[in-house]
Amino acid sequence: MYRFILRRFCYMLITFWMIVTVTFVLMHNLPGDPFANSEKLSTQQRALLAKEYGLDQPISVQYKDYLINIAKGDLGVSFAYPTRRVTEIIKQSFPASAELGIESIIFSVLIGLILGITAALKHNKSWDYGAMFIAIVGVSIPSFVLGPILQYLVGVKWGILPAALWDGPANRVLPALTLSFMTIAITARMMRTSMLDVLHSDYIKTARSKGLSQFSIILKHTLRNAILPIVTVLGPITVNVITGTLVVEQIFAIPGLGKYFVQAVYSNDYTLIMGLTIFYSLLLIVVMFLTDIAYGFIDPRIRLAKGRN
Amino acid sequence: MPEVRDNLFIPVTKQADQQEKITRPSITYWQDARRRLKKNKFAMAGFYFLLGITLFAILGPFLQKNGYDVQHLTARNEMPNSTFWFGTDEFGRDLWVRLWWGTRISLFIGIMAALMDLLIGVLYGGISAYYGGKIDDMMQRFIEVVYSIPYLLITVLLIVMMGSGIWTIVFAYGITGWISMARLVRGQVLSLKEQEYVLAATSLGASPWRIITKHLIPNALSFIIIQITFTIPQAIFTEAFLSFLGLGVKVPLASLGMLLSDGVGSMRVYPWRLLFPALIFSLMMVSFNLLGDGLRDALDPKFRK
Repeated sequence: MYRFILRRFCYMLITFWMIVTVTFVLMHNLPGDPFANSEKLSTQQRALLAKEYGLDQPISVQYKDYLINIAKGDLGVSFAYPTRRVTEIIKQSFPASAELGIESIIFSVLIGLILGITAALKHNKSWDYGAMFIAIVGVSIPSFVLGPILQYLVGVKWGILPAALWDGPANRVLPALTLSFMTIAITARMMRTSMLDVLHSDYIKTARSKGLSQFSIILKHTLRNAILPIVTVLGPITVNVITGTLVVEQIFAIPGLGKYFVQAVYSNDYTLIMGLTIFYSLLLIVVMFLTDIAYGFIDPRIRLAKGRN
Repeated sequence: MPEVRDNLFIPVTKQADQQEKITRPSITYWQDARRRLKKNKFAMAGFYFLLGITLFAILGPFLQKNGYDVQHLTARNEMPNSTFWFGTDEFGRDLWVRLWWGTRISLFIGIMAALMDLLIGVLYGGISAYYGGKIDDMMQRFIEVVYSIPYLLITVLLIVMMGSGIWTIVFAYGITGWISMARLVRGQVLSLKEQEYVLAATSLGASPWRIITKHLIPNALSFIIIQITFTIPQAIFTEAFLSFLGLGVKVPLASLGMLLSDGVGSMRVYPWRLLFPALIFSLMMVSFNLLGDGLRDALDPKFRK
């Protein structure tokens, strides 16, 4: 098990290094420079600014400096907000994004599990079709359409919940729901397949022939085994949540990281784009690493198979 | 009761070839799959909807005289009427024409993504699994790395770098989108290459290229088809997402994603500008998903009852 964790950890580091490099290369081939929009700068001022940000150095030196700084946990100074460090921006705006993300993951796992379990238990009946219909609609409507519709109907027209901003707990409901719509669908489908798999296995037949009640079969034998593969959904769910926040934070005016990322793209803010991409990737890599390990702990088959490779 | 006499019966002649004769026509795997698919009402509905949408995407713009970028400044923000069937936008552009142009572009992006899946994903997975050993190990490490890069972020970076447009989106998909296909094909080929007929082909001197293209890929074909029906909507969805961020196709060209995000902006005043694109987009997505599910049930023995 320790060898398995160590191997996965090494992959994680290699992946992270590659992402840093790819981001660096991409960003240095961008057309235009971050000061191109401020027309009033003279050539001298521009050269001074370039020197201050280290843009006049050869690329290999810039790359080396960048790697060293990242190892120190320093992502540089934003071009668009010269008084703020990227890490500072992340520290300030990540809590809102993280809270939104976690709430939406809780939403999607809860609702997704309920839908998936219902669908599997009522296989090929109208409950099943209903749940799967919701799941398919979930992957069919983009969040940037669903969000404004919810915002308008629930927030403006009926006035049940606040339509935007990020003040109290009631502000959390609509964004989190919008964000989790697609992940609910993913979880529900996964849970349904997994439940159906388990329901047809021999030990369920054994349990039934022992005379156990339907309730305890489902609770003790089916659910416990069927819920295992759900751990693997956490990776894709995190991806969805990260990319989803880019959109949802725009719609509901939430002061999170996603808003900064989109703005940085518009304003050619190299360091902020690089910093945020690296931060997001790190988040994702760590989540994938943890899910792999968790899955290895829960399901010995995975551990053994991977160890043998 | 009438008397039953012996001469009413004709004895069956005992012939070896007659006993072995198969009375029903034998069904190939693909005929069987088609039969199963036809029984699945949802999948067939999805199939026919897609057929209809594709037909309209090809023919729709010809039913109106307007081009997708022609502005009618006297007829801005019109409700659907007899001249402009789906109304007009704030520049007086015909939304019927724009909608079907947008569908064309979205479908084109989906089809290109499917081609990328076939070209890169299938070959990568096939080669990796077929050669195994060190090559497989290295190729898998590479996949693991690419897999954990949030691919939308890389797409956004690429678009910032190369400028927005259809080909950038296709290119970005080509870089990152084929991963799940490669993983799937690898898994299939890994189990297929242990089969006896591959051993037979190898011992007859068939080249690796021939074995991969003639034996392994055709046998993994059903899984490839299923994966593609899920790739296409995913690519279309990605385009819509990028359009919302202002990184999609260039104006005045329209894609479904762009029409959607335009429509969202004006939905409180001009709801039809959101309604029609949203309807077609969701219908397309639902259809692809239903068809994909149906194909999986029909083609994958694991999902058969």
